[in-house]
Amino acid sequence: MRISSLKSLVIGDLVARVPVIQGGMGVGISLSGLAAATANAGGIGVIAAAGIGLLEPDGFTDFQGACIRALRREIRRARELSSGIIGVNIMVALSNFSDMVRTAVEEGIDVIFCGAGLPVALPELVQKGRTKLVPIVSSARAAVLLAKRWFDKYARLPDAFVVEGPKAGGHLGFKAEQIEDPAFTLEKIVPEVVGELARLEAMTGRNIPVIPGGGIFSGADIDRMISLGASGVQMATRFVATDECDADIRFKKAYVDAKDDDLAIIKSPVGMPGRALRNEFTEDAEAGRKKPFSCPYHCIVTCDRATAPYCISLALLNAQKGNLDEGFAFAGANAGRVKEIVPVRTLVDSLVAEYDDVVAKRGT
Amino acid sequence: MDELFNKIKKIIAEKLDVPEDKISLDASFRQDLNADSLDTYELVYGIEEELGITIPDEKANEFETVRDAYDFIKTQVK
Repeated sequence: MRISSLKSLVIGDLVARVPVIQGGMGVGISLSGLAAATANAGGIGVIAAAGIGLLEPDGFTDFQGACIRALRREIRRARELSSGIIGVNIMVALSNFSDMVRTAVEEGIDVIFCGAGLPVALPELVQKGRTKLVPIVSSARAAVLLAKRWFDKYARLPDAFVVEGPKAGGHLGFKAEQIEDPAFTLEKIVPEVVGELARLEAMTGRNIPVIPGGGIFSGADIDRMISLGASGVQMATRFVATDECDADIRFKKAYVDAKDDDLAIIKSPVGMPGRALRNEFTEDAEAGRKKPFSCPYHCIVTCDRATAPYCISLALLNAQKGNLDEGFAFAGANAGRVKEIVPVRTLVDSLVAEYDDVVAKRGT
Repeated sequence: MDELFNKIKKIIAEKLDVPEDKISLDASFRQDLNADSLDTYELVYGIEEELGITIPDEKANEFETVRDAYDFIKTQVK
């Protein structure tokens, strides 16, 4: 076997041989199957906690209980399938954020990734244990604000940062008008975060890896991010088109069939823009043809249930089950480039090989 | 207006980068003072530091207007 020149991703005492984090995808797109396969391939596999209980038979009658039970089971299943690094993605905007964090910590999860809001009080919930805390931010300003707050209040620093750019799929940490603005590209934001964190690192003597995500597709992209100071990358879209991805085959095929102009920015009921594959459902929603619904669980704090034209969790759950007429698929900006469904190991190996080719051609 | 309000006004002006004369009790942080969620955190942490008080996150999330913040802060300062 050829030894790759790609460096491992080190987060505290965790070492991922392949510096690729499989981005968490809810509802139910990345569960134990995908997370374990990614961990087995040398990367970090991530279970998405958002709406995880909706896949349970009692998800609509006992949402809180079903979420805890489902998350616990998925983490245990991932552990049975892999001895690699397993994380969970828990959105700060989830109304059961604390439940999900506590459950993940109880199960001894390796890493908690937190986006969709600033996890300002996360260290309060994770006081003991070896769980690494990795916030997901979209600006240097957010990274510094959070790191300083944690340091001042809890004498703790984030163990790494995921920096998500505007080409990511799903909910985006940008205003709609910033998404195409050259001032907000990942290439612009990553060096800013690296630079700002360097000062904190010098002050505290701690290393805080920066892990960009959003639109990273190939080994060449990984090389570019590393040259900007990244220690690894987060990728999600490509992991959808894998045998082990936990979504229905029709969801995966929607990615394979997607063309560039099928991607659209939608206005999500939770008050953020989101990137998705356009279909009749998204078009009906944008045109105001969706009917109000009754919400039994209020899963997202920022969701205005009174005026929301549809339930985002239900729409994503339907898509996960392959029922794309009753929902839609979130997807990253490069989903149109996905051509086939492959095993996770094949995907990861190909990324490493592409990276090595780029580096070999450059002769460094 | 009292001294506390003037202090708060100064911090708001600095953190949100708005002129002090735009900051009235009825001004909405988001609409009138253009604060995004990061601004709000910076503001709350700034007030905590300057006035030596603690503002719980769930309380801070409820601040819509300057008055909401002022009323709460008034109960906390000695």
